[in-house]
Amino acid sequence: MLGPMPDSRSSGAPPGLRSFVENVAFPCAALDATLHVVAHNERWVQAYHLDGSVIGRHHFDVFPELPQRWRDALDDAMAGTARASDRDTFYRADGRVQHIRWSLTPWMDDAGVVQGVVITSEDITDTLENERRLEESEGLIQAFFENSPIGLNLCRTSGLWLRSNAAFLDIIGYSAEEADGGLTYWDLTPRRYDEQEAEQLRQLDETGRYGPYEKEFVRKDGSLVPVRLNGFLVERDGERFIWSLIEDITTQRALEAEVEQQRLRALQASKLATLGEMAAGFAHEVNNPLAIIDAYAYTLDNAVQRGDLSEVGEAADAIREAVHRAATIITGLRRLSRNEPGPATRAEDVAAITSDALDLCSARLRNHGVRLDVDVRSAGRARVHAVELSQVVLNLVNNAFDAVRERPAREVKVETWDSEGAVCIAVEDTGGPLPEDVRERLFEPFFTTKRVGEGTGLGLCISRSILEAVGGTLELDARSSRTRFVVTLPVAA
Amino acid sequence: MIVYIDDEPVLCRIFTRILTAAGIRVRAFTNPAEALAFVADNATAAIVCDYRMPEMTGLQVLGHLDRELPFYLVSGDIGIADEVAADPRVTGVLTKPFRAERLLELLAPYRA
Repeated sequence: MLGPMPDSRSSGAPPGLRSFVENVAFPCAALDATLHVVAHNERWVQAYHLDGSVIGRHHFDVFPELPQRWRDALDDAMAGTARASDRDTFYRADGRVQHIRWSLTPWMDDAGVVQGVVITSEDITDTLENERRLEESEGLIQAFFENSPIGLNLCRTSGLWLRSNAAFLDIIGYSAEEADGGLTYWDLTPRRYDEQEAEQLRQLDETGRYGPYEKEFVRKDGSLVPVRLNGFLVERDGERFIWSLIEDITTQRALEAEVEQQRLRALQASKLATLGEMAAGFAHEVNNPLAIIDAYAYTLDNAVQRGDLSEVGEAADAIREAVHRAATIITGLRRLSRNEPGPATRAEDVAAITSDALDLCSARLRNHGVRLDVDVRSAGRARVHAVELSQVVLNLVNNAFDAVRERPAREVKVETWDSEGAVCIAVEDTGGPLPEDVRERLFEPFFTTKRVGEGTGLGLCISRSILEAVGGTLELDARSSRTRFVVTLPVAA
Repeated sequence: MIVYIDDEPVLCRIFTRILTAAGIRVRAFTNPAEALAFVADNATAAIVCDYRMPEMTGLQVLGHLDRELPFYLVSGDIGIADEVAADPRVTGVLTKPFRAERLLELLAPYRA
């Protein structure tokens, strides 16, 4: 068949063909009838990684790895039939794999006799790889768009919808054709959101983003669906588009409403429970004085009937005492209610008020053999009502006194000190730690561990409310092994 | 002998006086444990006992009795009366504030 024919190499290629081969914009070579290279361009060298010019060399010598099918194709071309492929794979001798688009065109003399073959070929490996990658990434993005559980929508800045995914269509109840066939954002937005929308658009304009914010869409069936939206601007070829992410928050809203309902119910229940406990305690505290009043009134009545007035004075005193007790409880209750404004406050020296309060009760403690240990070293002032604060201190000291007075170790310790931004007072006793059930109820109104008539069960509760009214706190020091109450007051500016 | 138990000392004092004047022998206690100790050692016709006391409730006092005795429960609380009135060991319930006449009437059978 076709073998090397050195004599034809010198015949070369006609100038027209050579010029075409050397200047064409893709790799190209011309072979003579003996398959020796008579012309090629620089692109040919680059595309096949050749070592410079291959003019005069046999084509099979240049490409020893040329597959049989291409050798056959060359035969066809030499026989006058053009051959071409848009995509073919070339396994190179060096292990490289190239994807090639090629054509074999016979070139003829004026008589129509085939003189050789013009080969054009392009390495499309990179192009193919890029296409594959692009397709793959587009496919992934497309899959994301279609399957996203979050509604996705692309629209023009006019609000005209261009693309909506299934999740978004599901939210608004329209088909893809309806949604992206002329519907606009504004068609589905109730007018009452106009102001809010204007604000979001302003934000979008300024920052390129909007939301997240909540609104409603009017579904195709006319119902409203609550949604949370956020999105951003993208620019393509000078035109601006808006990508929006839309979530249906119906379930979340229902859940929130349910949680809120439960919270309100629990609050109501706890209010009722507190009210019930308060009422029970209140009844107990008030009914005793009432029973006393009735009993003494009975004795008064008897005394008057007998004409024996020797007991009248005592009965009157007892009645008045009982009235006073009941009144104290009512006053305490009134102070607990928020409607009662507290007395005017001033920046006061906490240490001085504490010392003054201790002066009032130190004698009583001493008489009962209770040691009072005082360590007043605060300098800070706090905005309080002096009488109220001394009432708090006295209440704490009296509680401490009651806790220790029948115990072998009888000691009450009162401290004041300056803490960061606060002035603190602590009252501590040797009455031992409080049982858990007592700790829990300590600040409840009418909760008392004292005997009837000795405690109203309101002291700690009122003390706490006095302190909270001026921004302070009253807590049981949980870390102390003794019973220790700590008052914290913010330092007066 | 009637045993009156109430942690309110003023009530103990005045009812002792009223009952005694009416010819009813009474011993009043503010401490339930002391009252129980007294009942254990002394002939007692009936017990009148407050419900809510710091040491124990009236029903707990009832539970500690070593023998069956007429037991009158006194309560100043709301909602306790119905509950304890259902207890078969409770002879009667008095709700504070009650009239002194009511107590006298109740204890008239135990007049010496």
